[in-house]
Amino acid sequence: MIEFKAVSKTYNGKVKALDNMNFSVKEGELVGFIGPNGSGKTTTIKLLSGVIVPDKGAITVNGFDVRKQPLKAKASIGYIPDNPDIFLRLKGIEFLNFIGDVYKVPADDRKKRIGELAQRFELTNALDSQTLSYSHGMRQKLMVIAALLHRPKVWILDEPMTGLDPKSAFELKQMMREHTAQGNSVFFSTHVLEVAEKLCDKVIIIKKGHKLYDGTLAELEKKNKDKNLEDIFLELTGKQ
Amino acid sequence: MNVFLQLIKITTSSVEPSTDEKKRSKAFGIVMAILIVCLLFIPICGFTGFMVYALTNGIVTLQATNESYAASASAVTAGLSMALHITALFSFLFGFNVIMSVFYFSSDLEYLLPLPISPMKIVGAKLASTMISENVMECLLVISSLIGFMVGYGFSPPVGEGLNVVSFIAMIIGAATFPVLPICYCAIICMIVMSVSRVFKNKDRVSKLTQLSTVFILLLLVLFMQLTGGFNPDTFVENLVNGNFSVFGVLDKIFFNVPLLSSALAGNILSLLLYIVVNAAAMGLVLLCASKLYFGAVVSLNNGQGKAKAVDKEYKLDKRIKESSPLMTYLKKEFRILFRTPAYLMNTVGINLIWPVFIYLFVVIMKQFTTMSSFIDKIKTGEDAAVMHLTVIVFAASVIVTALNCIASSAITREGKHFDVMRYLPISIMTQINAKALASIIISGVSLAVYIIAAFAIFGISAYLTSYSVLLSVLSVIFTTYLGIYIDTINPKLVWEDELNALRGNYHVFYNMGLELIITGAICSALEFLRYLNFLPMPFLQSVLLIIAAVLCLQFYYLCKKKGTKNLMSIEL
Repeated sequence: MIEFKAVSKTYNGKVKALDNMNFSVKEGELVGFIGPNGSGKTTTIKLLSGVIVPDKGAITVNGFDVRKQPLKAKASIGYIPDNPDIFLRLKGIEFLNFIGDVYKVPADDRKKRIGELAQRFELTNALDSQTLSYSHGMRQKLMVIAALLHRPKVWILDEPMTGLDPKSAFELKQMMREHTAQGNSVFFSTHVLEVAEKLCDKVIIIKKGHKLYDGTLAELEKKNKDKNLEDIFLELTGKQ
Repeated sequence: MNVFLQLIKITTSSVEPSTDEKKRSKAFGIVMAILIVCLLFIPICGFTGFMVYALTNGIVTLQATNESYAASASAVTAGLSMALHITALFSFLFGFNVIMSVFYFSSDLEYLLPLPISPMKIVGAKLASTMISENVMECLLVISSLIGFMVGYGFSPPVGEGLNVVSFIAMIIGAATFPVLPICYCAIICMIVMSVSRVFKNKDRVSKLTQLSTVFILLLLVLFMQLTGGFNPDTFVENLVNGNFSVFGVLDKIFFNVPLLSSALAGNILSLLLYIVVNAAAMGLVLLCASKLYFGAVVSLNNGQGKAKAVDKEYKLDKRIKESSPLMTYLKKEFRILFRTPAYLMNTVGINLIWPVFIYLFVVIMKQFTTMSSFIDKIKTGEDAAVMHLTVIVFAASVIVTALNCIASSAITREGKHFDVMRYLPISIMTQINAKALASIIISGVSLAVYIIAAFAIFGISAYLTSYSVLLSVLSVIFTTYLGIYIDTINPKLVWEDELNALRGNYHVFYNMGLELIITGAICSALEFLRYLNFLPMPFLQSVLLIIAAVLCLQFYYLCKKKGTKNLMSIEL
């Protein structure tokens, strides 16, 4: 569902954020993207969501080339950015309606989906308020609802657990599992190794724009016997 | 570095372009800066300086020829005082909005409040940064007024002592410190109001209230100026010297730094010392108020931002969910943000409501001149020259009003830190540009159409000319909008501290204004010249103007489509 082939990205012609990156996410896979600060996680996610374009290489999402068919590729993903402070003057329901219109979700389906997701994330009571008055966690929940509104096959999430309360984090993790169980894919970045450990089918570890590891956690732990995930991660990425 | 200087640096940084923006826009910025200086600053400052020179020269001549005026030596500064009063008044009126935004609504407060820094230092730094950022135009106006005065007074030695060293020292000090008193007034009033109005506990409500008060003060002023009698050009200088304009008498008392500076410029050292003491005392008073009032209000305001209000248990989603096209939904989003954000509401939408006040003031003043009524009569009888003047006025005014409200030229800048949303939404960049353009076209177009219809109806101008003017105005609004958006795509200022800074620190508004003035000036001059040659019929010239406006609409639309979208996709994030 996601193909990342020989992708390189340099900022301002100087800072190499990604260097010849290759990976793929197959149908039904839940992939965690791990790396230290400044390793290129957000750049990778921005490339996948079409926010920035690569200098070299090809990115395909759901069979659509992100560069050649950007609108189709974007319409087929559910993207949660790292910063949920978006259009804060809109009310929660207005924001969801806006997203519903942009992703062309029919009104009936929209009602059902918003009702269901808002209840699951306990946000129904706040939908009629401007998101300016929301807490960080509430804004994050709204972003999650907005990203899932059009039932995208591929979810791309940048640090989705940040600011979520334990119940909402649990719900999101549950939903991620449900989503992949239906044959869809989830690709998310995280700093929390425990989340990756408990949730992911496989992890991709990167550092300074280079892929260090791509595989299951079980394989990784097998290769590094008597070490916990934190030690393995620190060994791979270098203690900072 | 000293904590206070660090604070000034931090609080000023938000109005400066970021390093990356500076690099990308260097050549473009230089060209546009030259255009702005030539088209805006030099004409405005030149006019101000000349006006002060002419008045001062008139007063000096009056004193030389009429013995009864010779006694009042201080009256020689009346012209200068008038210009300085107007500048001070504008600093005061526009300062409210800026002070409120910088003192109470800027996002740096989130980081500054928890730091162990006294309120006096925070307010002092914010006051200094406000003066630095607000001072450029005012400083130029003050300098041009002072030069006008010095040329008018210094080179007319028959009366008065002429200029001395004190005058030159006063000129330097005056140019650097003139806005201190009006800005200090704003700061003190804002701190008192915010302290008293803690009950509101709602940033938006307080901000909107302040902005409404500014409009109210402006309206009162207009009314007051009318009550104090109109302006008669024939006796203007005499009335000015005799102090017959009570409005300036009142302003003398409010902005008492003006008579002191004027007197210092005429060579009075005592006035210069008093001027310095007054400014220092005003700043001291601001800091004193800060130590007593600032923290309480600002903390209360930040605490009171409030929780999301709970809705009824029987919340009906059905009524709130409506399907729209991507273009319409984006347009609704634009309107909601423009109308709900206090800084945008006042500076982009609200500014369109101020024009009737100025038009009213213009009509009140022009009533004194017989040329106004004869001009209207000539339009009614269909005299070519008058109709062409009116057409050109409608065309230029529509362009200026649209460029000034900066809805278009800040369209991309307003996206700020979440500009990336434009890129990841599955709708084309051009559709988003069109939605932004529609917001500007509707707000500017509707207000202009209403004003044109109302003004033409009041003056009894024909339905044909009214319809033509509305059509011309709408076309002018469209091309100004697309050009404004295109300019903002070149180098949008995406890093800003608060919404007012998105507009204040946005040079695109000036760039757009400069370009629009060139285009409009060229077209209007060419049409007036053709009309003057008198070999083409008026309807033909009017049609040509409509065609030019329509061609410009298409031209700038395609510029946005071809290059504007590319510009937006090439911005590094």
